[in-house]
Amino acid sequence: MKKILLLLTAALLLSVSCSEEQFSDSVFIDPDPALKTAFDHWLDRNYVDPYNIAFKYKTEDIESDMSFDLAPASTDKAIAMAKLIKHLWMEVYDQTINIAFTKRLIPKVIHLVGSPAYNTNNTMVLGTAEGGMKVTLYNINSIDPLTVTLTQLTDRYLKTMYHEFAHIMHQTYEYPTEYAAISNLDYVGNDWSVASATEAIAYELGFVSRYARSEPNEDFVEILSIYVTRGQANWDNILAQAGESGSAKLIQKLGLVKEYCVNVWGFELDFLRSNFESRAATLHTLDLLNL
Amino acid sequence: MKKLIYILLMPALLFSCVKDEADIFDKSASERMSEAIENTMKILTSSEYGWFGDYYPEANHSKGGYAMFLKFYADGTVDVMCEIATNVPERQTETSSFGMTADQGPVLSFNTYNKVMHYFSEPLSSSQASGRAGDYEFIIMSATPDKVVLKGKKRGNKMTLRRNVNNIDPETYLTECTAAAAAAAYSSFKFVVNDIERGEAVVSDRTYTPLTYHGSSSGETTISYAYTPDGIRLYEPFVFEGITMERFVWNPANRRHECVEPAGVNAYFEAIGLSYLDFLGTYTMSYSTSNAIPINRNRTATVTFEPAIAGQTYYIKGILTTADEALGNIVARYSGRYGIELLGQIIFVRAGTNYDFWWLPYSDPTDGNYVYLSTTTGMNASDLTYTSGDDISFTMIDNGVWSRGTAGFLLRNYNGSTSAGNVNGADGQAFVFYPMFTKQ
Ligand SMILES: [Zn+2]
Repeated sequence: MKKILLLLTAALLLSVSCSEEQFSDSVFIDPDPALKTAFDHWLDRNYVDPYNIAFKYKTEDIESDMSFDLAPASTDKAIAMAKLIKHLWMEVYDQTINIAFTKRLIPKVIHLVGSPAYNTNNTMVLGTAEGGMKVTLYNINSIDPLTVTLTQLTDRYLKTMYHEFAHIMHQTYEYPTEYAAISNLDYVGNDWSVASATEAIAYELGFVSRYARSEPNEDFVEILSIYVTRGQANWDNILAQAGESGSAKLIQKLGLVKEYCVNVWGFELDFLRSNFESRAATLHTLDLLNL
Repeated sequence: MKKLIYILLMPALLFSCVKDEADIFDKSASERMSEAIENTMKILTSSEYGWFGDYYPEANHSKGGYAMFLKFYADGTVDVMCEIATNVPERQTETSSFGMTADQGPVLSFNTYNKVMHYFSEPLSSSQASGRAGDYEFIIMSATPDKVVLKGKKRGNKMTLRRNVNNIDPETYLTECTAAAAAAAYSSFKFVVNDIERGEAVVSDRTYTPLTYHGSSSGETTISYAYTPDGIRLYEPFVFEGITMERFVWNPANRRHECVEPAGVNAYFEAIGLSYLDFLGTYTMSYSTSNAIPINRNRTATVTFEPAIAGQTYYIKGILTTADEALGNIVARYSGRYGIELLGQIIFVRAGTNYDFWWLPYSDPTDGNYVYLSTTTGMNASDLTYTSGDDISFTMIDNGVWSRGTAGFLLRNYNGSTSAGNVNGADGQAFVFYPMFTKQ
């Protein structure tokens, strides 16, 4: 069964990239290698060679949603982001498991957009992910390399990136079915966002966020990503608000997530989190202004 | 199990299908594409002294165009300068990168952020998600060593790059464009063809909206243009009864934009009324301190109209206290239709308090007293009289945007709650109602 699942994933991934090709009858011309900038060479050494990630900082509008008007990222902000993402995402997995693991699962394209993507309902899109293949990060130009904070980065990007990475993990190897049984009756699909489905109710029902109520996969990756990126105090606070039955379910879910990480991937979730936190604590030792 | 195989097969089919298509179809097409891209790249980077072009944002180029200077380098970087202030002051050079991609045809993309170029296309807020509706990706329509014609990918506006063959200093060129805009800043023009008056054009931004024409044919049209160092160039040739016109030179002596391209055409736009420059100067402002009818205009103040954005806006000085004037100014607009427009505005944000200091529209007394935090509500000049630029007189009246009617303005600090503002030398009162301006 495991083999079939793997095959399936591979086939689906192919179909994603393939249908993308089909819809945009566009090809990208590789820049003349002689014209690569110092940053491009840095990306080769730090993204392409070790992880096989294309770090697309030059906006390719046809790659992003045509229904938005967007501005590209400025190169100096892209340099800062390239360093931050490597330090707070890829290298956290490297340190916890190994670089081969990171390379195997990490989305193959990171795409930066300078401006926000505004929705008409007064919200803006900060990050999107497409089928484990590509992560798009918006509003990069508003990042100030001199004053950027972990909270800013987590709220805008990192939580989503850990969320997406966790999806790729469970899409590669399923988590045990008993996980979905815990909150079996409380998943609500798209109704997770209706006004009456508050964050407080979600906690009381044993969910870590409103969005986790949409379906078991989202529930699973929300637990993992919020536990890792938002810290113990935040987790404790959620448990406190969740009440007796809510917190019991949350603890049970976290236990299963931790078991899954050990049994399937061979790492301790707490080790991942402490690595994330210790690297976050050294955020300001990074030189975000120079390569 | 059957289901599983089916699912597995589907993507495989999809994949091979695309592949086949690519094999049969794409080879020569992609070769041609590469050649076109290489050729355009070569042409763009070959101009040692760069290119001039008129950039038109907005759907249907509805606000007119702005002169730009572009210099493309072989290392993939590009310098961009614009005649007007963008995210940087006017004529400041900003460098970023550009690239060519293939998408039906070759596309030139300004693909990292440029504070000049992307000023026109970046989204501004949820309610202004398209920003100034400009493009930064352009389909290459044609490319020759002297001229590259671009077409915006989203809005479809054209931009023609003209090679700077004579090594004209771009800063000088763009400064002259600004001067040309200021010199010809009139609100309306007579349209004359072969010495016969055929219509009247009303200026709105950098367009004639509308140009009304009459005679053997009659109707209405809109013409967009951009300023050149000596006049204007139209967005596209204007054909009037078989006569084509494309570029005009400003003749200051008789205040005319005269057609020079194509040569031999006898057509011009002759300014009517007062120019932007005519309104500059010192005025007596008579006004009321209450919105009561009948209007008494029981106070006067001496105010000056000073240049803000050349050709477009003025600072009205003398209404605010000297201390406030050091922090910001009330801005009035030179208008195609009315001469002067004065709208609600935030004059500055008071440091340390986060109070917006407002020039706040105040209602007429019909239904009671109201203010409106609006930057489109306000007043227009009316009863404009003059014999020359030296004896101008006009009265401000409601511009009709607010259903309650604007009778005047209140100086007020506002951040959810309000605190008082002061009119200069007016004993602590903060109202200016029914202002009337007479040049001294
Ligand atoms: Zn998800």
